[in-house]
This record gives sequence, C-alpha cells and structure tokens, in this order.
Amino acid sequence: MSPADLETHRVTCHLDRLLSDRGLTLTELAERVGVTVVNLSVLKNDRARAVRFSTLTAICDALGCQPGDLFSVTPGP
Amino acid sequence: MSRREAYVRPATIRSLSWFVGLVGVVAAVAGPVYAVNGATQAGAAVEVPVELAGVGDSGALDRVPLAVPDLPQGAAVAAQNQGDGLALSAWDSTIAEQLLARGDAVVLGLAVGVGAWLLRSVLTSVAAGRAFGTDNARRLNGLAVVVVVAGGIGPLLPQIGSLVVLDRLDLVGAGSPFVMGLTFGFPPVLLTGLLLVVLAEAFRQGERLSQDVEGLV
Repeated sequence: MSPADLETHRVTCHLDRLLSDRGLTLTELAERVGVTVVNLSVLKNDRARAVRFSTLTAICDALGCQPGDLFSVTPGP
Repeated sequence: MSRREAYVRPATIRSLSWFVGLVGVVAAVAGPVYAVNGATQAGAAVEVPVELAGVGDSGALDRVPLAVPDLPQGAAVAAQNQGDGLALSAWDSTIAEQLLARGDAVVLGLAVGVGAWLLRSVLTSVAAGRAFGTDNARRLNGLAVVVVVAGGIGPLLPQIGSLVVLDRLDLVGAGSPFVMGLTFGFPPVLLTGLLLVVLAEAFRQGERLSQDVEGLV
C-alpha cells in the first residue's frame, strides 16, 4: 500500500465556484497567484494532497476570500 | 538557499544518455564477438596471464622462452611482458581456452551493456525532471550489483584459462615455473559497488520525499 493510499481525507475545494462567482478563469487566477495552471487544476479537481500556506495566502488574496470559503470538510460516513 | 539554476541542461543530459546507450550497445556486442572470434582461432596461439615463481620482479623481464617437454611439433611457449604482467602464449589452443582467455572481455562488454541500459534510464528521468521518480534507486542498486559481479568474475576467467593451458602443457604442480592459483582484486570493485549502493540509498530517500510532496500545490 502506497503512502497516498494511507492518507484519506474529506476536504473539498470550492475553487471552481469561487472562480465562477468572480468571473475568473483558472488561467487568469494562475497568472495572479504565480502558481501553474496544472497545480491549480489539481487543486480544483480535489486531487491535491497538501497546500502550501504561501499558495493558500496568494489564492485568498486574489479571490478576496478566506480559507474557509475555499475548503470545507464533508461529513464523515 | 538551494541553487535554482540547473548545473547541467536537460538537453546535455539527454545527449549523454544517448551516448551512454550507444557505448552500451557497442560494448555488449563487441565483448562476445571478440570472444567468439577467439574461439574460431582454436588451434592457433592463445595468450593467458601467468606469474613466474621465484622471480622477484616479473615486470623487469621482457621475453622468456620456455623449454616445455613433449611439445607437439610447431608448438611454442613463451612468456612475454605486456606491461601489466606476463602472458603465456601457447599454440594448439582449444575452443575453451580461447573463450576463457577472452572471457574478461565478454564479462566487461556485457556488464557495460547492462550498466549502460540502467544508467541511461536514470539519466533520461533526470533530464525529464523526475530524478526521484520510481525505480531509479532500484536501477542504481542493480548497477552496483553489476559492477561487483563483473569486477569479481571478469578477471578470474583468463586466470582459469591459464590454469587450463598450463595443465594441457603439463606445467602445473611441483616444479612448475609458474605460480598456481587465482588472485582477486576485490577491494576497488567492492568500494565502487558500495559507493553505488550509497547513491541508490540517497535516491531511495529522495523517492520517499518525492512521494510525500506528491499532490502538493
């Protein structure tokens, strides 16, 4: 079993909704934040396993939101 | 703070990978071809490494003709200094003697071929920015095994060939002018293998770190 299999989480990213509400594309956000489109796509599609605080700060500044607006934990089973 | 610029450009590494692959293919073919070529010369002279007994510095000798009883007509035995020790040249060789005499070239050629195949994969992944991707640690460990095995076995084959030739010429046992036995040059080979294993361990730890940050944005 790989380390990835051992780490399960229920964190959901709401980046797509925040982008939609602000009329921004992923590419535009990537340019503002200084993160690659690939990495933002990983984040948007819930494939990220960890987020740097610097990245989180930059995204929140660009979108004018708080981390709690960007992420939520879905209820457990 | 770690350096951001690459020490070597990816294009240079890819070129090196291609060159290593070419060397590996050439060596893997040339070694066995050299030995097979020797086997086709069975019956002709074969040269095997020897060491003269009771001679302080065999390297000081140039050419020493040897009187060997009951040699077939046309056969001749002489020990000639090749710079790194004496070599016995004897006619009427067998296929086995020819193959053993050139066995070190076969082992070296195949080892270079396998080693180049492993190393080329490592270089290609480094050029692609995936130095700590899966399997590189295993490849480097395999390279260490190849070095130790080939470095241990390769030099022994010509020495075994010399024992076979000396036995055919009835030059073994008490009274033989030659030193009997096999010599091993393991320390340098083992040290090289150990260094490669340490490098493999470094890559294994890098793989773990890479897996830890996989998916990190």
